[in-house]
Amino acid sequence: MLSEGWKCFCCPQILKYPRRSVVAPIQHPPSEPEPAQPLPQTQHCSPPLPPRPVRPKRKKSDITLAAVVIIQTWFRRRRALYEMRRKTAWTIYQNIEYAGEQDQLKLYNFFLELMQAVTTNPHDAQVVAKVLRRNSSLTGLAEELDLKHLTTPEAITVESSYRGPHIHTPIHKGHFEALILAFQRGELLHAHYVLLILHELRHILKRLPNVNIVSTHQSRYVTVVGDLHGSLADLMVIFHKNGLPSNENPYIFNGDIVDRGFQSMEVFLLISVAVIVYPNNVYLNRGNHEDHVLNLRYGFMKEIIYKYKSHATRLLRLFENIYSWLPIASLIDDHIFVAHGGISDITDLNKINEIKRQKYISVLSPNFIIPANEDQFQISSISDEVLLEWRQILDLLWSDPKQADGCEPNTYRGGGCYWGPDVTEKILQKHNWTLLIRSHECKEEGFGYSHDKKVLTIFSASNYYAVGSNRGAYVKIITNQPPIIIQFMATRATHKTLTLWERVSYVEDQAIQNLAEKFSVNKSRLMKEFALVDPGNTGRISVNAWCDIVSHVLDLQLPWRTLRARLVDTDISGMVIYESTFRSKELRFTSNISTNARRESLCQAIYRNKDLLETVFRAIDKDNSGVISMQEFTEVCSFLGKHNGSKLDEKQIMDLAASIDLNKNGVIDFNEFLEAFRIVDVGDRFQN
Amino acid sequence: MAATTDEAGVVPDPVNRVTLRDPIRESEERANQARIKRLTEAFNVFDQESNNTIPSTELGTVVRSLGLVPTEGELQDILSEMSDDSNPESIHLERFLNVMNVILKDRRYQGEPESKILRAFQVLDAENNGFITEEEFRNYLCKEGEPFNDEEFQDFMTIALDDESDRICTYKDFIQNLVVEDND
Repeated sequence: MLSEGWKCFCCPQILKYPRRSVVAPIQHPPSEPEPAQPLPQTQHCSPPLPPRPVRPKRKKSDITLAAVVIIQTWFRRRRALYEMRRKTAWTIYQNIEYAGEQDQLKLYNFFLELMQAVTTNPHDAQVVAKVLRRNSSLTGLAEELDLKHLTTPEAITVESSYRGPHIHTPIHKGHFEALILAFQRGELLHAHYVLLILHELRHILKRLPNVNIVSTHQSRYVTVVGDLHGSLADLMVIFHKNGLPSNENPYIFNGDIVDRGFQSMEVFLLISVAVIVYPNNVYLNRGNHEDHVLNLRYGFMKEIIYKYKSHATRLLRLFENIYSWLPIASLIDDHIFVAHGGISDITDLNKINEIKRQKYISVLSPNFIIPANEDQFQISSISDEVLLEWRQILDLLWSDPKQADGCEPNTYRGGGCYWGPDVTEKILQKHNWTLLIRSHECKEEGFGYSHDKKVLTIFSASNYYAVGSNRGAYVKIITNQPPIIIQFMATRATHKTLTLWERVSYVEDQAIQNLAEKFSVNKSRLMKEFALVDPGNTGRISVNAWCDIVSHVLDLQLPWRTLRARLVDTDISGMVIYESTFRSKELRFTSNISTNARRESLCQAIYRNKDLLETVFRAIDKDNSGVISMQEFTEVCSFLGKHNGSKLDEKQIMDLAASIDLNKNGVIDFNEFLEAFRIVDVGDRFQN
Repeated sequence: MAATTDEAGVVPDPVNRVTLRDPIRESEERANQARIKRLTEAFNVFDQESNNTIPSTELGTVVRSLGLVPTEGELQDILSEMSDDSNPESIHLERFLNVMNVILKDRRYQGEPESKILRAFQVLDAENNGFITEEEFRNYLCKEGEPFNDEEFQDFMTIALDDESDRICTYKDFIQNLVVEDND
C-alpha cells in the first residue's frame, strides 16, 4: 500500500470484545458415552484392520459435575460484576456528556430568548450579541472579496526554518501520503499550506449540491465513516483496515470530524486532501460540530489557537465559511440516505435540495436570527417558511432516534428532534428509501440498529470517553447487499493487549475520578445539604440521604447506591461519613491567597462554569489575543451567574482577580485566570 | 388484645391516645425499601431506553451483580418466573422487583462457602498436584456442566493462571480472586 515508512497506530491483534453474558440454554450432562463405531472397511483386499481401540471415557460422576458447575457459576458471577461495573462507568460518561451538552444548549436557548425579548436590558443584550455575532457583517460579493483578502495564503510566508511537508497545487496522491506520514510523526502543517488546502477544498465544495449523489455502480461498494472527533488514531486504523480513499475505494465521511479530540486539524486536512485528489469519490456530510459556534466550546478553536497562534484568526474565519459549503446529506444508489443526525417528520428531499445551504454559517444559530451587528437588538419577525427551512437543515444535523412513535423537540441537544419508528417508516416510504445511516451518538459497539433495522447508527471514534470505553465502527455498503459493519479499537502500540478485567478498571477509574471532581467543585453546596439532615452534627447520614442529596445537587441520575462504596466511607453501622465525599479531590488555587467560606463557594461556582466561561470569553475576544477588558470579564461572569443561579457576584470576582494579581491595567488574561483554579488529588486514592 | 400495625408500622392505641411504633415492623419496612431501591438501581443500569424494561439476555448480569450466585439453570427458573409470554424478549421492572425482592429476602442463591469451592478444585485435581493445567480446565469447563463459551474461557484463563509463562493454576491462591466481593 504505502512505502515502508508507514507506521500503524493500531495493535496488529484486535481485541476480542467480550459479549454480554447470555443466559445459556440448559445443558444436560451427557448420559452415556457413545458406542464406538467400527471403521469402514478399506477397498482393497488386504485383511481387514482391527477396529481402533476406543479410548475409555472417564466415568462422569455427579461429584465431578457438581464441582465443575460450582467453578463455572462463581466465575460467571465475577464476570457479571465486571460487566456491571463497565456498564455503570458507561452510564456515568453518557450522563456527564449529556449534562454538559444540555448546559451548553440551555445557554444558547437562553441567548435566543433574550434576543427575542423586546424589552430587555440593553447591557445584557450587548454581551449576548458580542458572543453570537459573526466575525463579519458583510454579505454577497463584498463578503467573498473580504474573505479572500483575509485568508489568502500569500499573506503568510513559509520560513526557511520550516521542516514540515510542503504542499503545492496541483495537489496529488503523493501529497496525501506525505501528510499522513508527517502527521503520524506529530508534525504541524504550516498555516500557509493549510490555507492553500482549505481554499482548494472550498472551490470544490461550492460546486456540490446539497445532497451528494453517490453510486456504487463503478466501485461496487462505498464505505461510510461516522464521527471521528479529531481522532487521528482512529482514522489511521480505518485507512489501515479498509485502504486509503481512491477512485476504486470511495468514502463518505458523515460529519463531526472536528472538536473534542486534539488532532481535529490533522484529521480535517487529511480528509480535505482526499476530497481534492478524488473529488468524485470522497464525500463529506456536514455534522453539527462543523459549526464555529460549537468549536468555541468543544475544543477545535482552542486547538487552532494553540497550534497556529497569530494565524488562528485567519484559519477560523476560513473554516467558518467552509462549513457552510459542506453538503448536508448523501444519497447512495437512490435508496440509502446518509445524514449526520437523522431526520424528522418534515424531512423532504425536494425542499432540502432547494435550500441555499451557504446561508447557514452556523446551523445552530443562523445569522438571520441573531443579528450580525451588535447594535441591532430586535430580530426581524421570522416567517414560518423561514423557520421550516431552518428546521429541515437543523433536523438533519441534530436529531436522535427514539423508541416510541412520534416526533418531539430534542431538549437534550437544544436542536433537532427525537423521531420515532413511525416517522422513519413514513419518510422512507415517501422517498422510496430502504435505509437511513446516521452518526451523532456514541455506541459501545461502534454501531447500533434501531427502528426495525431501518436506521443504522455508525460511530467511528473508539475510546471516546476513556481508553476501553467503546469500539469504533464503519460500514461498507455493497451494491444490492446488506451492509457490512467492521469494528475496531485504536490502541497505542505500546500498550499490551488488555484483558477484560484491566479494561473495565481503566474505564471505571476515569469515570470515578470524574465524579470525584464533580464532588470537589460542589463541595459548599453538598456540605450545606448534608448538614441539614445531620442536625446533631455527627458527621454521618444514611445511605439513602447521601444518594438523594448527591443526585439532586449534581443533577445526575446515576446508580449512586451501587457507586457509593467507591466514593465514600461508611462506619460500622453502615452510615455514610459524608466528609469522605471529598477525600480524593479538592479544588485549589495555584497561588496563595486567603480563602474564606464565601470565597471557596465562589471559586467552586466559577470552576463549575469553567467551560461556559471559557466559551464566552473566547467569543468576545475577537482578535484571539487571550485578553479581554476587566469590564467585559466581570459582565460575563455575572451574566452567566444570573443564567444558572450561581452567585457570581461582580464585586467578589473583581476582588478575586485582583488578589491573584491578574488585573493589569484594566485587562485580564482569562486563560491565566481560569488556570489559577486546579483540581488536585488529596489524601489517599480511594480503594479499589 | 392483639395490636395491629398499620402500613407505617404504627400501632394506634385507642385507649391512651398515644401512637406506639412497632420497631420490628418499621425496620422491616425500611429494609424492604432499601432492597427495592437497590434492585431498581441495578435494573436501571441496563434499562437502555428508560422504559422500565431490560432485555432478557441481561438478566444474568443484573442478578449476579447483586451478589447472588445462581447457576445458569437456576437463572432460567428465575427468568421464567418473571418473563411475560406476550413479550419474552424483555423483562419489566415490576415483575423483576416482585420476584427478586422475595429472592433477596429469603437469601436464596447465596453460593457455596470458600471451603466448598476449594473442595471443588480438589476434585478436579485428580492427581492431587496442587494445580490444574489449562488443558484440564478446558476439558472440564468447556465441555461439561454448564460449559463456557470461548470468550468466557479466555477471560477465565487470564485470571486463573499464575503468570503468563506457565499454564497452570495454583487454585488455592486463585480462590481469593474468584470470590471477590465487589461493592459490598
